[in-house]
Amino acid sequence: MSITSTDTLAVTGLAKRFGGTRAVEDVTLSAGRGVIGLLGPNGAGKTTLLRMVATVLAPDAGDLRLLGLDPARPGDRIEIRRRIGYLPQSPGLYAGFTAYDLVDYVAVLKEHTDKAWRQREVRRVLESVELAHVMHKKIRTLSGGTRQRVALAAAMVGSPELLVLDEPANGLDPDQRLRLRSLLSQSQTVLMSTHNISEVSALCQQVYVMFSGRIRFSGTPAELAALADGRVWEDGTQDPLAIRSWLTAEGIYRHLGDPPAGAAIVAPTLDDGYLLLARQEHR
Amino acid sequence: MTVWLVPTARAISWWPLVAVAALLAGASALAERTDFPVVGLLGIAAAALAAAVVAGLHDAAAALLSAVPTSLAVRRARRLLLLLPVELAASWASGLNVPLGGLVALTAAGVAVAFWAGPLAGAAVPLAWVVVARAGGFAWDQHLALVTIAAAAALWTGRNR
Repeated sequence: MSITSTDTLAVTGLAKRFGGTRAVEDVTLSAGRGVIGLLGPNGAGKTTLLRMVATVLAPDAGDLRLLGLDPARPGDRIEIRRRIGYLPQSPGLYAGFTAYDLVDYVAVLKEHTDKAWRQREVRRVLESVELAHVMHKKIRTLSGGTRQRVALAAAMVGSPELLVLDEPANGLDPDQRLRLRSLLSQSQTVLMSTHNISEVSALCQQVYVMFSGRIRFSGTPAELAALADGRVWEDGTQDPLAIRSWLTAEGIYRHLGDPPAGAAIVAPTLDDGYLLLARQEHR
Repeated sequence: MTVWLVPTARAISWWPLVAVAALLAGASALAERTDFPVVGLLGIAAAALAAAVVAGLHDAAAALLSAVPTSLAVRRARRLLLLLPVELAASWASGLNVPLGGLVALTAAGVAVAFWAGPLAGAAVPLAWVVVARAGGFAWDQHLALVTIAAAAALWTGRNR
């Protein structure tokens, strides 16, 4: 993978430990414009990586460049923070604030001091996540999915050049997920973690898969699916030699592994590629 | 008026400080009626006020705000600017004559620990200090200037966090 000076995000050999646990190890990735997906099981190191990219956590080793700046330098870090938006996995909110007040406060902390500009911008981002009708309701009265959209609006205030989103679709219903996709596809650069593979396939130009703190795959969603080319087959009975088998809604078994002679090979999906990678990792 | 003032004041959880202030006022009134010597209460009063101020640094939206250009240190300093006058007012209103040096040292120690280990750990420091002093049989209000200077140094070191 080549990293160029025009990349919004350039990470080389990044590492982070917590005590004796290696949370992130030797991670190298880069991103220009577009939506980049980060897949992996719980505990793979996705959140730690995103926290480092969001300048919240300092890496133990490696090189990190965001928007051409070095977050290890305090002056650069502040400039980066002016130009990025971050949605953490569990964004706490002030229950007594309205959605409007919260996003406005975030705008203030992002150093937007012009009140007229803030009023326009806060309304714009709340409308973009379709919360105009509840913007003056107290956060404590809002549902989990609506709160998630308030936090997303807060991350998007000021049209950041880089959005770092940790499971942004958490708590959203299918309709809201579709709207999120359309919203993110209009953003400049988005690095997002997700457990939802359909999100990656619908939205991401590039996908990274992490296991045990390391990047095990980088490529397009189609390339991830292609890992399972010729290794997926279906039949009416369970195959004990398959590395993974599951019953589909159609009542037939879908198998992953080395197909027996004469097996009915089918086209792999993104799930198949990911599951194959996960299986190889845990072998 | 600075734009951060009102939302910061609204974001602070004031109930620990209000509860401690009310408790101290009640204890002071009771002590006056019963001629109970308030000297024994002063350490506890100072520790409770200091702990309540440090608890006010807890930020429910800390994770969401962790990558804004206004640093954690600045956000906490703004909270302290709002909390400290209320602490002093509560101390004065209680009528207990809590020693200012002790109050400053306990608060500074709690705030310093909060900057490095979080507000909950910081809030525990003033209370633990007075309780340990009592259990150990030594005065809690010794070396106050030294503690305040050490706390200020710890805060200065962590200003870029």
